[in-house]
Amino acid sequence: MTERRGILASYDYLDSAVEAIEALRQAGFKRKEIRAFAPVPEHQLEHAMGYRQSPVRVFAFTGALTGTATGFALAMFTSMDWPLVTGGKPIVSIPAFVVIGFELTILFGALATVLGFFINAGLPKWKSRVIYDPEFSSGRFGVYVSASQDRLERAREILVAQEPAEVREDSEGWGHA
Amino acid sequence: MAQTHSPGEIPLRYLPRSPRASLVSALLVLGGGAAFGFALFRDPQLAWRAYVVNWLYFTSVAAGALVLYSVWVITKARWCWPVRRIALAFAAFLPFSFLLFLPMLGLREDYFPWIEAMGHDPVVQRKAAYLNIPFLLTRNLVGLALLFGVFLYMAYRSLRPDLGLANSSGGAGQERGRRSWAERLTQNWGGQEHEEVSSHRRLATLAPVAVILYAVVMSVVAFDWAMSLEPHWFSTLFGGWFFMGAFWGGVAATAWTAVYVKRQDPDLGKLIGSQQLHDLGKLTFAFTVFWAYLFWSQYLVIWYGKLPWEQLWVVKRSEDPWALLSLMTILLCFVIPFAGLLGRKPKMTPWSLRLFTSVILVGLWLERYLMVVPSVHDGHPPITLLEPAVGLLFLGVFLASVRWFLTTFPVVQVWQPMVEGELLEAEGKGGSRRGAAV
Amino acid sequence: MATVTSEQERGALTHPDVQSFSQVNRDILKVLSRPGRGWWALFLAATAGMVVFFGAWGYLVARGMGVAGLNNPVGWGALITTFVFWVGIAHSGTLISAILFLFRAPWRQSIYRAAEAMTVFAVMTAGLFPLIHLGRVWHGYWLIPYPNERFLWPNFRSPLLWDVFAVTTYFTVSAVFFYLGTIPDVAAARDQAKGLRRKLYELVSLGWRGTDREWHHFGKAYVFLAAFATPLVLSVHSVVSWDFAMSIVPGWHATIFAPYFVAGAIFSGVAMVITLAVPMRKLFKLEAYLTVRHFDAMAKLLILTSLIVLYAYLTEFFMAWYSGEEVERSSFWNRVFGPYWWATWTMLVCNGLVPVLLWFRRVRRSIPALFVISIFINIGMWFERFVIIVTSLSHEYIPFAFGMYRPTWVEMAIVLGSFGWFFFWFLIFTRVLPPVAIAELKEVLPAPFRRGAEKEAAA
Repeated sequence: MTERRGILASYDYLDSAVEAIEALRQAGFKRKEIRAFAPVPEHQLEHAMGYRQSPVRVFAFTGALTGTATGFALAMFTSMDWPLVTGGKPIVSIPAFVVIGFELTILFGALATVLGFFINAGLPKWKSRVIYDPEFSSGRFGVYVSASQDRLERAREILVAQEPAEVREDSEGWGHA
Repeated sequence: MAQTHSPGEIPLRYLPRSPRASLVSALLVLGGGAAFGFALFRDPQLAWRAYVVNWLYFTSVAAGALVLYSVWVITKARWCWPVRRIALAFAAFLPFSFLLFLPMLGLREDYFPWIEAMGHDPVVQRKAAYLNIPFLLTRNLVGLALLFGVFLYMAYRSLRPDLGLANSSGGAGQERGRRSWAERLTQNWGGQEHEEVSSHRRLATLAPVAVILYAVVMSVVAFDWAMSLEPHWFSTLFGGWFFMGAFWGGVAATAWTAVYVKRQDPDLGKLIGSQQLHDLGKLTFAFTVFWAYLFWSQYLVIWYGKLPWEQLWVVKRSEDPWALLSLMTILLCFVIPFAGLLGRKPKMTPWSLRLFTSVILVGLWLERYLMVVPSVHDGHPPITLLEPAVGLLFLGVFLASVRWFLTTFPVVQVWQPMVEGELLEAEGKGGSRRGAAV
Repeated sequence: MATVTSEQERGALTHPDVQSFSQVNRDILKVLSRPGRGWWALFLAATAGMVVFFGAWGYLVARGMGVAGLNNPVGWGALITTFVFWVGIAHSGTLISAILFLFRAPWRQSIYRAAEAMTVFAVMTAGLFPLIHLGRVWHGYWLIPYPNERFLWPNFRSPLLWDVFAVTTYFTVSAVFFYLGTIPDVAAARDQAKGLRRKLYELVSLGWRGTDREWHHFGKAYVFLAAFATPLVLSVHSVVSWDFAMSIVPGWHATIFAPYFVAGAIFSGVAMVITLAVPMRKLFKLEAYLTVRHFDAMAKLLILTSLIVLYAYLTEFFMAWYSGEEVERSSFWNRVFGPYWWATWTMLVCNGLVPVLLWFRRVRRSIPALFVISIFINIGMWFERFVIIVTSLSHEYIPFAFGMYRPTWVEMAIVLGSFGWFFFWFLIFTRVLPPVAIAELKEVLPAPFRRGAEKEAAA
């Protein structure tokens, strides 16, 4: 395994970051080797990184269906477990149970969505903060590249070409992220 | 989230006139008229029931589309810029709707069961102040005239700046109809900028009025032409259910027509992008869910309450011979479009959006049918070929008028309502008119 | 001629006084530094209210439900009224954060964080009231379906149990939604904080760094949560309304109840957002973020919902008459002209008449006027629930069983004290979390572009 190192560039402008990423991608850097930082969700950045549909949707959908099934099952089985007629309604009153089924659809769907977000985004992650600039949550955009020593020089050229406000070296590469 | 891209310069485009489409409309009118005549001859009660159902349906869709337009004005929506005019095009049916309404004013005992019940039923007698023919005629005529009048005036105001543009640039071309309408609607022309500002102002003032009028008038229409047919029955949600369903029909019809227009002309196809289809699809989907919500809210309360006079309306529709039609309505109005439009792709794909809005429009027809017919008909048979066939008469007029609008006036609105900042500037320039309503 | 602006230019229009991304951080995070005297005064008042709240509740528990004015025929009174009131308040928060998000309304960014916080705390307040109403609050867990030794299950055909599910789901989902939205902003707070605060923020932000991967999935999750929250908000107040509408009490059993309650909830909630936002804006100097335009948009929302509510009032009155049923007619006549006429007229004036003022642009753009109107609406909406619950129960089918209810001082102390409990949490929120959404606000501001920078430098 070759030793990997990292380099971080902070930009004051969005288009600098976007162009840097596009150039990196053209120069053959993989998405796994690049990381972008932004204070806002930016379509242009995501586009430059070449993202497709997020798998969070699968979580949302599965959670919702599980919730529907759970809601109806809960209401039906508990009603049949101790059959007691109330209000002249049938023991299994589907119209009444729709409400329970609906609420649990939403509950499970929402919780599964959040779970899907945590898993896919890799959160929580409370480890060290070497490759980060506190300005990224304020006004700056960042591009970080982790690559083997020889390719890192090429990355540096590309990053510097976009006039970053600051460039930092990271001697250990991915270990920190 | 998504950006609204719109070109700085929007071309004046018309839908091409098509003799074939006119022929189809003419055939529909003839066929529908013949069916109505035949029905009148065989069973006048059935004929008039069918007539009312179809009038309710097509008026719902047209008025619903105009409400959609008004809501766009109120919310200052900008994503809708290429389809704004399409929703407006349904205004062309409103004058015909009014004309087609007039024969319904002659309906008496054959249609309204409460006239006969007034003689012996004490509960119905207590409603005499509302359920009587002179008041019924007055409130319907005045209400519809007001509502349609406001909608048509809004359409006129919205067209004016574009027609002025067509006059000055010769954009209307050689077509005689287009030119004469453009000239007719731009009398007392006050200059492009002035007209845009004044149209914007008047639309902004009238749109909320139109929406309020719509809710009130359509509620009255629903009470009079559908709810009162079961004279003991009442539901506070009925009016809301009726006019929200109509609004939904307008949204679906706008989406359907947007796809149609996109297919007709490649240039227009470029203007009406997948973003717009996506948004129209989302609206259609949201209304599908909302329709189900309203339906459910009414059903659940009645189901749980189990009051004899109240559940009669529901029980009748959920038993033979109506059960099958009711089930189909729920499938067409909720299950199929919900499953179909849930994803992102089907909302953006022209053919699937058209397919599911068609399903909705058929479902809505059945819904209106079931609001009316089971109350006054014993259900043997629940539906014949004649009821939809009478609908062809309305469909022909409807298609012809909407298509006429889109061939005579620019399909994409060229002038765009200003955003707030510009409006403030314009106000500063043209002297202050503060304190004006909305 | 075709004047169309892009989303970004429009953002510059809605927040003309905000110059850059970093200014947003400076202005909003400043709120989290040392609290001023005004904040402390409010906080003390809220704490005092909370003491009253728990004191009165404790008294109620110690002496038993007899100290409340509840008796036959009116078994639900001020406590249930206030439950519905607080659930209603919660709704506009979800409306502004989820529904307006789906509709891409560009004015929601500045207020939605505060509105969402309000949702969470309002549901927290609302949820206490059914428990207070139980009397023996320690039996509250009986509402939850769990396998107990007698294999007894709650009755899933009862609307009251639906309500347990609806309100619990609502609390969970809105809390999660609120938390998810704050993560990037807590990270922003962390990056400027020091010491213990920094560690806590780091813990709460889950180590958010604003990477592309995080933002990508965040965006998707946020859309889905909004899509879940939207039907949820419709369902919750519908289920609350069905607590009443499922029965056949005249005045309760109406099909329009579900949408009518939802509209009323949003109406009262938006009014409460205005009531909260006006002092918050002043106290924390957020004038550049909560502009007159935001208030104008909220006022328009008030017009819409007040019209729906008014439509429902009028339809109910009309249908009561139209029904031709003696009980229905008598019930609604009693509402307007019976012993509770003052409550009904308060409701009609505050919710139907006062909002007419909002049709005037000058009123919508006057912050003091809006503040006063919003208080009227808050009062009117409390009375609406009071009218629905109490007048209907006091005047059912048999004249022999008619009866009156008056809230006792214990009930009123709990009702008023609950505002202390609510504001206690809300005030803490304004100190601990950024009260305006930092990251989302930046979305409507023009992003910094190198190409645009040269132009700015020249100016």
